[in-house]
Amino acid sequence: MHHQRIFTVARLYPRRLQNRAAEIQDFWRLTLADAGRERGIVGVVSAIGWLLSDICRAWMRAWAEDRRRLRQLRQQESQGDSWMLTWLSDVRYSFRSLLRRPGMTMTSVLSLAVGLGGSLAIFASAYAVLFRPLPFPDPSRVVSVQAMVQRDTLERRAFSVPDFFDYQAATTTIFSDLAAWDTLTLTLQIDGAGVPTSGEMVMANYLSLLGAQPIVGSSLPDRQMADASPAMVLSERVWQTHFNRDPAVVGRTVTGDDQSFTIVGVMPASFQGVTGDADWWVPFAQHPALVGDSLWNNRGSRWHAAVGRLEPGVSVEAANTALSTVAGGLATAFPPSNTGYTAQAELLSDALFGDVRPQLVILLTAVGVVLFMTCVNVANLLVARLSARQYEFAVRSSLGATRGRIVSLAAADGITLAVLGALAGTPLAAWLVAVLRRLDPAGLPTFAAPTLSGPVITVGIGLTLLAALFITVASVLSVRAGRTGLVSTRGASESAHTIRLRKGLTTIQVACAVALLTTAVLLGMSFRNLTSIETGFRTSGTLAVRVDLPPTRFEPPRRLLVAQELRDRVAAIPGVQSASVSSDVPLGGGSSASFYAVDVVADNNADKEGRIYIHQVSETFFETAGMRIIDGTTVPAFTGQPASLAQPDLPVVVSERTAQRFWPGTSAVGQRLKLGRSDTERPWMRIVGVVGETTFRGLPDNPTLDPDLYLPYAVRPISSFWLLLHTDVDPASVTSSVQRAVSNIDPLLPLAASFDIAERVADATAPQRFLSQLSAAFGLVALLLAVVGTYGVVAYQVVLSQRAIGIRLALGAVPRQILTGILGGTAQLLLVGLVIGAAAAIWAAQRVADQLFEVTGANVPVIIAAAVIVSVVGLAASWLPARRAMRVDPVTVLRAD
Amino acid sequence: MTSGPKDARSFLPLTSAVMHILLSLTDGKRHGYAISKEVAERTQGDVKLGPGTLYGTLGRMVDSGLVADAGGDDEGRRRFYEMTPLGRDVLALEARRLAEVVSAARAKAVI
Repeated sequence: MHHQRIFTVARLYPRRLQNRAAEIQDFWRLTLADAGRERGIVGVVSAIGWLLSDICRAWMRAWAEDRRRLRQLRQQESQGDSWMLTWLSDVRYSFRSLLRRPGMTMTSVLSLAVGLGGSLAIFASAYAVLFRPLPFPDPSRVVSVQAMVQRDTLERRAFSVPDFFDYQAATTTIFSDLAAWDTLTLTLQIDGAGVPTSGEMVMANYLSLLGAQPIVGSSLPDRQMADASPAMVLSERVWQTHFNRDPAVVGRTVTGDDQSFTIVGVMPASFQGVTGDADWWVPFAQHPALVGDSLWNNRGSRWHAAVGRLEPGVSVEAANTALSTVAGGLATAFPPSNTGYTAQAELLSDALFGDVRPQLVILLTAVGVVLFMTCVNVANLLVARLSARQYEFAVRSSLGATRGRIVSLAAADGITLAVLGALAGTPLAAWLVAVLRRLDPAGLPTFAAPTLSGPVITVGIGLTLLAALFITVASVLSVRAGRTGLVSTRGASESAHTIRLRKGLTTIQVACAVALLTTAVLLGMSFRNLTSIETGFRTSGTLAVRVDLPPTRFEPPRRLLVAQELRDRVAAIPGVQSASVSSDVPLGGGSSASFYAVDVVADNNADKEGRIYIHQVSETFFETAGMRIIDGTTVPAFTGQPASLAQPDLPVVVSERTAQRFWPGTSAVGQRLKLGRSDTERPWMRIVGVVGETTFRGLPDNPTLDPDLYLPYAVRPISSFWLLLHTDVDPASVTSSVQRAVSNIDPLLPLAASFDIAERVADATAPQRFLSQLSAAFGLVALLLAVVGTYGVVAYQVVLSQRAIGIRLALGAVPRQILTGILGGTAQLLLVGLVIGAAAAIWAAQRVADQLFEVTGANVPVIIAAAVIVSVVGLAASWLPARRAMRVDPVTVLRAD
Repeated sequence: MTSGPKDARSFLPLTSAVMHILLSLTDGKRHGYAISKEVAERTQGDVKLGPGTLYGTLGRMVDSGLVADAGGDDEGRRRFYEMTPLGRDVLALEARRLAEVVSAARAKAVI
């Protein structure tokens, strides 16, 4: 009894005296015994008072000494190292300790590398399109000017030359320069071989307004004399590839499509025109080899584009007002050709990139979310690591480390990981950028190709710092608990804060995964709809080849004979099932439309001017293209003999829409229509067949809903025509045979163009495929990250609460209850994440709605499906640690204490 | 601070507790309570070393080598301490220093 009480008194002393507890106890005993013997009870009481006051003094001394030692330590620390050296040693320490945990480090660094590298690559693409100014001087004043026509909607059209000159003359106060241009292809004869090239036919001020200065020779002349050989400015690429960078090239002539051009200069590689890949520039001028008289003079022939430079201080809106005023004047002056027509200006960057910007914004957002989730995961790993280090931090802080030192130590890990991630991510980004350049899914001009340029790298560094900051802040917040001291190194109380933080982070991850998965599924569905679209023509096993006969060398009658001969030759190639010749082919571009009228008196609408796309086809065209003849038959057989548009009752084929519009319920076969207005003297044409509607002029649908008219091939002896081949072998494999057939006609003739229709279909949907595949990848990565996050937080919680589980099991809890408890906790976490995620998914779906094809944006089933996937996978992820918890052996965990 | 030859001067001046403990141990080894009791008697109760002060100081003196642990009694609850040669040197130095102070005070008729 006595003994015990004294011992308790000894415990009142500061800790450093505890090792002398027995002596203190003896001291008390002797003191009290002596005091009692000498002075009785009064002595004992005063002795106790003295001893107690001694305890107080001991505590005060201990406290003062602690303070003194702390000051000393801090002084030593701040004197010994500059903060920079201290921090570097922290980083070194962190690096070493990270190396000691290679699994966690590799996981963190790799995921950060993917997150940062991917973000950087996508940003590099977006930067060129969203932020980088166009490579022209003062690009905010460079506009694309577009002719428009008011039909059901305002549709884009090209300019006619007379219209263009009127616009140019009337807007000199608006545009400091307004230039017409168009694309052109030429087969250049270089060293005895035909080289297919493409370039731009431009007015001289086109080059000056875009700031193009020749590196050799001069720019295009202001005026091209109709009797002289046209001038040509080469691109540096062609100059290098075909002329060996020979400065003497200026003044030389080069033959293109049997017309000689005089080379006057070379433009630097930094300039490749608005198309971004021009091989050369030739004058936009009235010249037999360039623009023929009828195209030059006909106000109704709309075929070229225009760019302009706004006068300083003139807004795009002001330019549009001026342009519509001019358009109004033209419509009044030339009602047949100009009613409903106008022109609009928009910034060239908007005209070039307007379509891809929303897609890049989607990808940028998605990759940003993935990066964020990666950071959350790394932060989660670090939090676990830091809470394992709390004992170390407690020791450090009890030895006098300041709060700043502890935070610096914890931050060193986050920063080291982020920097390692960035270093590993840089080659990945470079590789991804190279892949993106090669794929070029959006078909961007070369000057908009992604590069790892200075600003992109700056943003990359910024992203790395941001990631480091986020990881650090998230993980350091958890260290707060570590300062409380050595006492609770294994208890659950200090970790409650940590686990709450981790749960919060994981909830956000779950939400992000739901949103990204929803977006990915929506875009995937949209892409599937796009690819399964009804084109109306065969999309596999069809090869299209364009042949450009030099017009001067091939007189009109001979052109038809050549076309017929080529058609028959290629039809005889083994593997070719059928072949046709036509003026244009599906998705080949270059189709043109005309007004038309039908011979139906009763229909008031019939006389309303409609447009129809005109194609010249041989009789085998529909069979070869795989187009369905709904009614009647095909056009008459093409024999190489000329036909005439002037011939009455010319047999033609129309597409379904015309037939349904004018002859609903009855057969259109035998009915009549004509080109131009019904009151002209042109002869009527007789419909002999009706074919199904096709997406002839574009995917997913034709740019305009105008129907199609198929004329017999021989009505016009065109010099540029298409061969279409339906093969039962790989279409590309017959290309060389087609080339041989063409060379038989003329050894200098190259194939002007050649494509597999299947590839063209794939190209047409390439941006959407790219978008859907990338977002699918992001969605899966997000799902994976959410799973890893959920697994991590549940596993961590199980480890922390092992003792509690052990106690519960020891007290008779059934393992199944433990399992249900843990899964219930996960379900709660998931549920909150899903609710936030659903809201985020709806928001995201609205953002991508513009990009969706035949899929509704706010798609509840998709959101629910995404939520179900995330929750199933999340629960599965927590199943493993939960099972481990169920198998906890109470004896083992409790003995561990 | 626990080993190696030390300059006795570095310990000066001594706190009163250290000096009294050293004085007390000049007679031979003593246990804690005996030290406290001897000091109290010698100073007629002016200096009373309580267990907190005593054992805290003794601990530091053992660490710095002024005194040494001279073993415990059979029951293990009482430990004896003895002065080391270093302790003796330090005490002598301190006493001499104080004697000079005292003689200076005398010379100036302070006491």
